[in-house]
Amino acid sequence: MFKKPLLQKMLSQTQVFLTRVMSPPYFFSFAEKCLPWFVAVFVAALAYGLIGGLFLAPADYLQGEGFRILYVHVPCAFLSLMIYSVMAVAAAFGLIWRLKLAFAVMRQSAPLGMVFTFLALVTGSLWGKPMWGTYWIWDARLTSELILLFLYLGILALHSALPNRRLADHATAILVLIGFVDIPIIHYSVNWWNTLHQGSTLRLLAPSLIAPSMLYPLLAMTVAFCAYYAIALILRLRCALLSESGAR
Amino acid sequence: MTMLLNFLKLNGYGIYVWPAYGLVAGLLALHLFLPWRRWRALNKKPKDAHAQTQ
Repeated sequence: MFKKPLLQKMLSQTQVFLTRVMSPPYFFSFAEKCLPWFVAVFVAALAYGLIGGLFLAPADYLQGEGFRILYVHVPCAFLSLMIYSVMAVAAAFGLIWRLKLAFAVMRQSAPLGMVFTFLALVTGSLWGKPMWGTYWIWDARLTSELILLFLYLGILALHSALPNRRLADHATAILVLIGFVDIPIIHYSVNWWNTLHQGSTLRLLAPSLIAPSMLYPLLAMTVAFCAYYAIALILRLRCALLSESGAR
Repeated sequence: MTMLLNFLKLNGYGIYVWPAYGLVAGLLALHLFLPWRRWRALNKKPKDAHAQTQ
């Protein structure tokens, strides 16, 4: 008896909050304030990550100097999953609360996610050649990551194939939500199947399996790539919102 | 010079490491440059249109 009005009240309050926060004027003011900070974080983290990763971190006892691909491969792979997760959240927000900015975030994130997935696959294959003796193997982690690349391509193709913007946004959002099933498969593929790809080195609830002198530059590079995503997304969103308002 | 060459060689792994870094840097730079150029073009449009009418 009490639950329904409370839930309705919570949903309507959330909608009011999201409609205010995710309105284009609020976004433009947020973008103007935050962009310099993201650029500062990006430059500082990238400088520390590159110096630490290329000069300060010692060579790996097993992989020698070849392990230095880690500093671009891991952040790219992390971003490929993170961007898809952001897209899935944006798709859900767009479908539930009909927020235009949420659909714009989903749309503008897709090319960036595709680039990071492509880079994760290429850098991984460049790392695989000296370590495994092959550029490619149909391993569970590699194959599920390749499926993610096809998902990104499918999302971009579907959105551009539908002439009606509203229909394209809704259809793409549904595809993004269905495709989200691939994200846990990629993450847990190294645990669920016997793979050539190594298991997780960075763990949230346990000590990392990597020496601090190698770990800190890796974390810095990951932060730098996250800041890069924020910068690129803001730049793309600004253009998209401005050209949409001009078209109307 | 020898130190720089040794660093670039990375004990024979340079042929794999540097293309990876180069590709990442190139593609990420491109994806910052393109929206930035588009943003500049969008902001210039009214000025150009005004200039053309005059």
